[in-house]
Amino acid sequence: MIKRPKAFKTPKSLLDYAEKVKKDRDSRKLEVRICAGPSCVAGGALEFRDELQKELDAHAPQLKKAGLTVGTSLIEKCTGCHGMCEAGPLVILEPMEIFYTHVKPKHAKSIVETTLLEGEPVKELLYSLDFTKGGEKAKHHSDIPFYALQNRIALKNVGTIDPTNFEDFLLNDGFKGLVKALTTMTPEEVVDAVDESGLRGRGGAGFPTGRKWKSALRVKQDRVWLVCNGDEGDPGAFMDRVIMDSDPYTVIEGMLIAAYGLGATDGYIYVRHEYPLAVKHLTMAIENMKALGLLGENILGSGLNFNLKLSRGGGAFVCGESSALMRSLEGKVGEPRAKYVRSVEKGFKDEPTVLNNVETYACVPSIISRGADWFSSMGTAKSKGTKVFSLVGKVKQTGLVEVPMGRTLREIIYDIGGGIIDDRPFKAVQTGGPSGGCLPADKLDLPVDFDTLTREGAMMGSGGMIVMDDQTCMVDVAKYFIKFLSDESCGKCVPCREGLKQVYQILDRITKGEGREGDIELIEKLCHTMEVASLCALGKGAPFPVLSTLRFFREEYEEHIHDKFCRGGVCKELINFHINDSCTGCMVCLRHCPTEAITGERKKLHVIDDDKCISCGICRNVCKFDSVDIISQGKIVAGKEPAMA
Amino acid sequence: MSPKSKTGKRRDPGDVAALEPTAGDTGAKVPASPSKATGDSCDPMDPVCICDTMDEIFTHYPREEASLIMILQELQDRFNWLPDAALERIAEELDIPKSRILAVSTFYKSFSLDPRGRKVIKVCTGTACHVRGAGMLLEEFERVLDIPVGEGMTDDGTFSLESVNCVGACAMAPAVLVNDRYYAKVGPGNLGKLLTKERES
Repeated sequence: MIKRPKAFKTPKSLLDYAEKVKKDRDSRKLEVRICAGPSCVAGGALEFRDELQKELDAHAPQLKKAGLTVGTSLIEKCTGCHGMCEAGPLVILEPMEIFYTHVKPKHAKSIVETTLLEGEPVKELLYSLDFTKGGEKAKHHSDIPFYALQNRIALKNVGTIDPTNFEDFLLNDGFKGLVKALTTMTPEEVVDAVDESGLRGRGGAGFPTGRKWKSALRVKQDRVWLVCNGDEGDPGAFMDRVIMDSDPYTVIEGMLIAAYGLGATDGYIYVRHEYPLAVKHLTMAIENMKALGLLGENILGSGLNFNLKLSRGGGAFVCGESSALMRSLEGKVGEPRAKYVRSVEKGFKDEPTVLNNVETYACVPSIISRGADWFSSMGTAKSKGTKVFSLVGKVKQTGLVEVPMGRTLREIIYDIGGGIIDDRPFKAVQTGGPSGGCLPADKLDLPVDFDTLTREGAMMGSGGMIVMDDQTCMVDVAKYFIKFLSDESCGKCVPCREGLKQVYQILDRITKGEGREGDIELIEKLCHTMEVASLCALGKGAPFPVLSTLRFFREEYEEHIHDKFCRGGVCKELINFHINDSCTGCMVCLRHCPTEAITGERKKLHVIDDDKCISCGICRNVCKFDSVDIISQGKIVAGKEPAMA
Repeated sequence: MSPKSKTGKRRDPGDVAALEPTAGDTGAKVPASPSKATGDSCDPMDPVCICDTMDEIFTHYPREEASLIMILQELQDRFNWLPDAALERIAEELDIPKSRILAVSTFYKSFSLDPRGRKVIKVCTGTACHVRGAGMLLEEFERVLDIPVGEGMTDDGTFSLESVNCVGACAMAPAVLVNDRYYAKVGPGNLGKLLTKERES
């Protein structure tokens, strides 16, 4: 083991140490990486790890004979999220590039005996390329389209390093960008490089980061605050959580480079309280870096001073808005303010403040170490680099993917995501969170970047992509977002507070089959008012989910209002449940029905009593034989679909 | 067809009652022990205990309004809710009106002014969970636990039920968070198992 210096006083001491660690690690022949993201942990990743350790101990003599000593030449470690959450728990063996999915504790033995000792893959755990049990298996993770089509910059270390291990980070070019900035660049050159790279804010608005930094430099003030926005509130987006969980040092390195460029001496990372692991890992990283002299006074002897604190959010969506976030940092109610004075002039404590998103900071170290030209060579004319998307909803391979801007929706959903669950028809993809919109099938070939999606009435936003199939009701989706926003509106301005409430009431009655002539026009009017008159982006963006569904799925609204028909089979008041002939009489639905609406005997067809049924959908969810159909206006709107759980 | 009424009467939790140990008949709706995070044995209703805890919390932060949220968060971590006596004390120490403290503690969702169960079940209702049936799941939790979402706790003080906008576990929808533990793909079929596991741990 190499002894870590107590503190790093010069860039050279850091590089020397990295070199020593690298040499020491050259003896590593094999690394077993266990994904310890929340999804894999929920699936039993940590239990697998315990079992693997036992098996490694039990097989230590044989392993030694094969040249593998646990702890030196063979390492097992927990990493952050690999991204392919659907197939978890995941285990990866490097350098063999073996990728195991759905790993259970019982597989530890065969992994040790077959893979580690005999060098053969455990076939049943390999990834199936066509999503079926007997399908062709991927021998290496690079054979899997989900990974092969990605280009990871913000996620470069995610899933490969142990987020709690400083040396792991260091060996993956950790602090390379920082050292380069401090030793070879002036602060102006750092800001210029970020500007030239074309990096735009990854939090949603897409404001050019370099321009923001330059305008901060023009404000003549003694102190500039640096804030990292980790209040990732958009439902359906979780890239910031994964970056903070799995690679906290990169975020801080990005902030340090920004601090050098901007002359900032103090900063905050504001993290959602719903992300306990991110809080834990970031706190650990901050403490560690303080102790090593990488945060605080005179960092690496360069004269750079930067103090960083972590602040936990309180669970308010609006605090993702920059001015509300700064109020929250001050210990106040998180209400936004009008933006006629920008935060680079008056932000936190009414002092100049530069705020960027987690993913934005995570891109900065690579931009500095590999150059602005390299970054701007990727992407489209006005959206450079890559973007992380969370591909979720009714798609086969849910997870986190990073691709260059400009890839089409179809490539992301079908080539990377593998298409729709059960190969059902695609209906829409919702992008951009509650201020985004829903795009229909004929927009699938649009290149994804900031400007294209905005032009189509949606937006790329922070990168959430929720895929919807034919069994999704677009009126219900619009109602969902309006309900979400009306709960989260801070209530300061009238258009947002009252407008959302009114739109919600109208949408609610439409989904209940009580829609009236003129409702659609009324919604459009209210939406227009909110869009122009609201104070912050929450209210201004709120109409988009409604307007985009009205634009592309207007007929669904009309069917709800005029025909009391819900083609998605979602709106409870407009649907009935019916058990079809495929029922085996297993009694499972009958036992789960909360209102005893289902009657029947073992091995005999069950029947649902419509008068007692409350359309909760549990019977359909628990049925293993796809025997429960959803009927609206006499038509079967939802038939075969496997139970979810 | 006219839209049908969906107000059918729900049957009693029935078989679920078997899951619940006999509710402690203490009369008071306060958990006997504070949350797991504390480790101390402070009773949030005992003024002396509150004082000691508050004294300790105040050593961690400067006495200024900017510390308010952090103080409330630590208090919430200790007791799982914000006892009124503690809020009075904060108002005194930070020299700000109690109304402002109440404004902050009602604005942010992570704070609760009422006692909560030892385990807080957070059902994610983010978009990805919504399209995969989170609404149905939430209703089923309400029915099985026999408590409304966002209010009170089970009679034995074990569970409180909340909905949360997004826990960032969208790929495993519908997701449920119990204290800090994630559960993936929860549905009516495996909800009973989840509750049994949490009750025992």
